[in-house]
Amino acid sequence: MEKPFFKPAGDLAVIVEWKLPVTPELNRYITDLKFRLELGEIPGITDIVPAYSTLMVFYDPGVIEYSLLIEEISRLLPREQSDRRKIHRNKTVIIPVFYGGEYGPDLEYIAAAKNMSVEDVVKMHCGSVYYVYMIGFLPGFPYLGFVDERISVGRRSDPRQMVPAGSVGIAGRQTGIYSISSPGGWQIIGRTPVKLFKAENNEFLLSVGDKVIFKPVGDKVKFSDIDPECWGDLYGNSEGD
Amino acid sequence: MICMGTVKVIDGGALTTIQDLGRFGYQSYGVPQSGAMDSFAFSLGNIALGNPENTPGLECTVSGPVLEMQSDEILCITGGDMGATVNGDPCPMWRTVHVKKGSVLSFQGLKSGCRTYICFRGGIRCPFVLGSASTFLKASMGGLDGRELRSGDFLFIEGGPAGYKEVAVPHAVRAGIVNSPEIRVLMGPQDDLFSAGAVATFLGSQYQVGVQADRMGYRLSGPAVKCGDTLSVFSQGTPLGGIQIDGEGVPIVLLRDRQTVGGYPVIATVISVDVDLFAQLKPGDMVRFAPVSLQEAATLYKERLRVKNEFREATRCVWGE
Repeated sequence: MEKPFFKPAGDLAVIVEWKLPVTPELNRYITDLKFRLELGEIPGITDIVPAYSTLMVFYDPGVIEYSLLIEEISRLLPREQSDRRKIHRNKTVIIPVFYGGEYGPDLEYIAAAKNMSVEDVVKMHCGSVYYVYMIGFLPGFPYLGFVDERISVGRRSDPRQMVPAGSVGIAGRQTGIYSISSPGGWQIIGRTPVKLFKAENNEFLLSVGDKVIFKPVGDKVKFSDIDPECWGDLYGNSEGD
Repeated sequence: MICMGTVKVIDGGALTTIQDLGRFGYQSYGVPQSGAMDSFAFSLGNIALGNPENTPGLECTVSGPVLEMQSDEILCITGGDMGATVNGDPCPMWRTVHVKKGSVLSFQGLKSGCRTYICFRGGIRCPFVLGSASTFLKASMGGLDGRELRSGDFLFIEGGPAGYKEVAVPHAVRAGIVNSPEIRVLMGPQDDLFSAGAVATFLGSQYQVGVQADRMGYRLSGPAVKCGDTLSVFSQGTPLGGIQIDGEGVPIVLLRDRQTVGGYPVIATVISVDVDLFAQLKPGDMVRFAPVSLQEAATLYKERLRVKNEFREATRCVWGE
């Protein structure tokens, strides 16, 4: 792997950047570096944010100087051949999605814009294994890459005031899942009942480097792992029906 | 004996939240750092009280709350001046005060700054979420059920007052809160995407804090900063104090509740000691930016650490700890 560039991002962070095309290989290398930094016991590191082709390292300048920090990071850069130790294990997660209808209000727009059937859009969205490049925007929101060029579509020109938690969207060649309800501009094609983030027990379903497979659920009641809250979301609180 | 005090919220004020110094280690999961917007003022309040710096306290925004003490409390008010009163009499800031059971703490109105901190001796009892008591409103996380204080809420204060000690934060220590300050920045990390003319516009102009100014960030109005190539930045981590330039050329200063990743180019980043000063600005205030080197920023940071440590040592003697 080529050597990265270092640049200060204020006096509390350094951005480590690779001037390379974005690939799962590069991202995996960045994730490896993140884990090595976490294990490497460099004093003064306060947080680490991996992204497509960068790693942002936050530090306490009262503990470590910038020049020493980048020296230490350089020392921990993984060497491709020698370093294939599995220091972390990534997983593949299947996400059941109900596509279209009221849960995927932009699905028909995408089909029309791309001149294909709704079924083909769904098939294409489900047809790839996605790689978690980054988590951000909202707690637990995964940036997944990349969707088939043929269903790539820009963000909505009028972002929604509220996108419900579990909504699955497309923005350019990225696809993602709203982990909590939030305003947002991604084109929404479906919804999953799976919770990506449980604040009460500090749990995040996905980490950078994981893989995601979307599975269409044709029938609302075939959502797996429906909890009472999701049931309520789907059917209203129709107790006694 | 450990006892617990109670404070009743009569009125929550415009936006009063429980904060500490922030949530660290979860930005890779999309969880922002949060924490007190003016961390220096917040820390000084806790240090004056003999608390650990990170003890949960209240951050009040623009207009303060009305709080009824249901037990004796020792507290310290710092940050912006909102005209604090106890039972209608002026209550001094930047020093410890002993407030008797039954007293009501309220605020007359904003005189300077924008955020006031109320720290209690012992601190507010509060569950920690991902290692922090800080409230992050967008995800309803931390603090009091992830939300702002409301009328009818109760706060529980750890460890009642065993004995009042008088501690004042010396003038030389506390941050000056001034309107229209010059805010120091370190250029970058994406300043290379801007022309020399655009950088000159950014550094040579005065900007006004717009109405969209909250814990996530402040939009500024003023001369547009043209970026040749706004599309080439892949989303990446966002620094505290980062000044991103959106597609329209509008500068947006990213603060404690900012999204952990962003795709707009960051022309410059407010240095850490000035982020606290900046966070005391309110809509309508004017600001200009002045570049400094990383070396200067680091020196200023260390100087602040030294001042804090000296004050902590001094208060430790007073509290006898």
